[in-house]
Amino acid sequence: MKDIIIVCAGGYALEMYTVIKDINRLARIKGNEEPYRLLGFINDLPGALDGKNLDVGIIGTIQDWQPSGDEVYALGLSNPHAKEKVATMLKERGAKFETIVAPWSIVSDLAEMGEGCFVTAYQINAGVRLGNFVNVNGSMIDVGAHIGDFSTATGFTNVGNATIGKRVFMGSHSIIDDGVTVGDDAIIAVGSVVTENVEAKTKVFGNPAKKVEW
Amino acid sequence: MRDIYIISEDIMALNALEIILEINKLKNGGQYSFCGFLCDSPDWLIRAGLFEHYAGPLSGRKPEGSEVYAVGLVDPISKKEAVNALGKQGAIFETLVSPYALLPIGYPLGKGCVVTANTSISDGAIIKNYSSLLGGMIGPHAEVGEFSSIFSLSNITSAKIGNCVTVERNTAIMIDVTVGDYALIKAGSVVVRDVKEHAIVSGNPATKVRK
Repeated sequence: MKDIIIVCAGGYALEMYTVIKDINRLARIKGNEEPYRLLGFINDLPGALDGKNLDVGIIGTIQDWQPSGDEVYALGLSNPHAKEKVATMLKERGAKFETIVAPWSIVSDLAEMGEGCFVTAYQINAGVRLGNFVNVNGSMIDVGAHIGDFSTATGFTNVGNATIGKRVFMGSHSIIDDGVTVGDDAIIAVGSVVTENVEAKTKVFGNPAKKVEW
Repeated sequence: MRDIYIISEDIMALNALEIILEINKLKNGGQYSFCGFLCDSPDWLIRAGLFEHYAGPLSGRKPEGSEVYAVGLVDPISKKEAVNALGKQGAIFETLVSPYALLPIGYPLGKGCVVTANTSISDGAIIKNYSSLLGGMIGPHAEVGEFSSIFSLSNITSAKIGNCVTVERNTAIMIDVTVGDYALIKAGSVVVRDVKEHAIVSGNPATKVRK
C-alpha cells in the first residue's frame, strides 16, 4: 500500500480524490489489498475544501511542503503552465509522482505513459505515447498519437494519429486530425477541428481551426 | 488456437492487434496466435518500434492451411485492393470484435470486419463485409457498406452508408441520409443532406469541399 497525497484542491483534485477512492473500492471488491492510503491534500489556500465533506483535509501548503521520501504524489491540476510550475517545484524537493488511471477507462497495453499522468475516462489506444504530467479527461486518444509533457485533453477531445507538443491545452469536443503537428504552448479552443499544423504559442478556433489573437 | 496475420499499411493496424490481445486476455491462454503484420512497406513498423512483428510483404502472399487474416487497413481503396488480391488466393478473413465493444452477443457482422473498443452497434444495424468500426456509434436502422471505415465518436443513427466510404472522427450523420460510394466525410462534420458518390464533405452543415 502506498501513501498518496493529492497536490492542489481544485476541481481536478476532487476528481483525483474520486478516482483514487474508486481504485481502492474495486480492489476491495476483488478481495485485494487497497493500493493507496490517501493522506490528504496540499494546497496554498487552506479553506479550499470547506463544506466538501471529504474523508481527508488539507494537510499543508505546496510552498512549504517537504516530501519525506516514501509517499507518492498525484497532481490534481489542469492548467499546463501551473502543472509545470508545481510539478517542477515539488520534484526539486524529491517528490515522486504517480500516474493515476481510472479503472473505467480503456487503456491499451501497447500505450506508454510517463510519470504523473492522470487519465479519467474513455479510451487510450495502442501505440499512443503520453509524456509526463499529461491529463486525459474523457477523451479519445487514437492509435499513434504522441502527447508532450504537461498537456491537457479535456472532455470528448478526439486526438488522431497526431503529434501534440508540450503544455498544449485542448478544449472540450476539439478534434485533432491525423497527421497534424501541434506546437508547444498552443491552445485549441472548444469545439475546434484542427486539420492543419498549429504553430507554437498560438490559439486556434473553429471548423476548420484558424488562428485567433488573444 | 488459430494463426492470425494482420494486413496493414500504417499504424492504424494496431487497432486489430489490440483486439487480438484483448480477446486472448479474456479467454485464458488465447484464441489466436498472432503471427505478425503483412505490409509492402514496413516503414511504419520501424517507426513504431515493432519491426520484430514484420511477417513479410502483402503482395504475392500465398495463404496456407488454416491461417486467418485480419484487416488492419482503414483506407477503403487500399483495403479493397488488398482484400481482393488476397481473397483470390483463398485467404480466410476473420472478423475481430473487441470485448469492450457494445453490441448484442453473437450479432451478425460481415466477414473481415474490425470492431474496436467503445464501438456501439444497436440491434437492427446492417454491417457489411470488411468494414472497420473504430469507436463510432451505429444506430438501429443504419447500414454500413463494404470496405467502409467509421472512426471514433461518430454517430450514425439511421443513415445508409455506401461502399468504400470514410467517415472521419466526431461526425454526426442525420436520420435518413444516404452517403454514396467512395465519399469522404471529414472530421467534425454534421451531415444533414445526402452525399453523392466520390464527394468530399466537411463542416456544419456539411458542404462539398474541393480537394
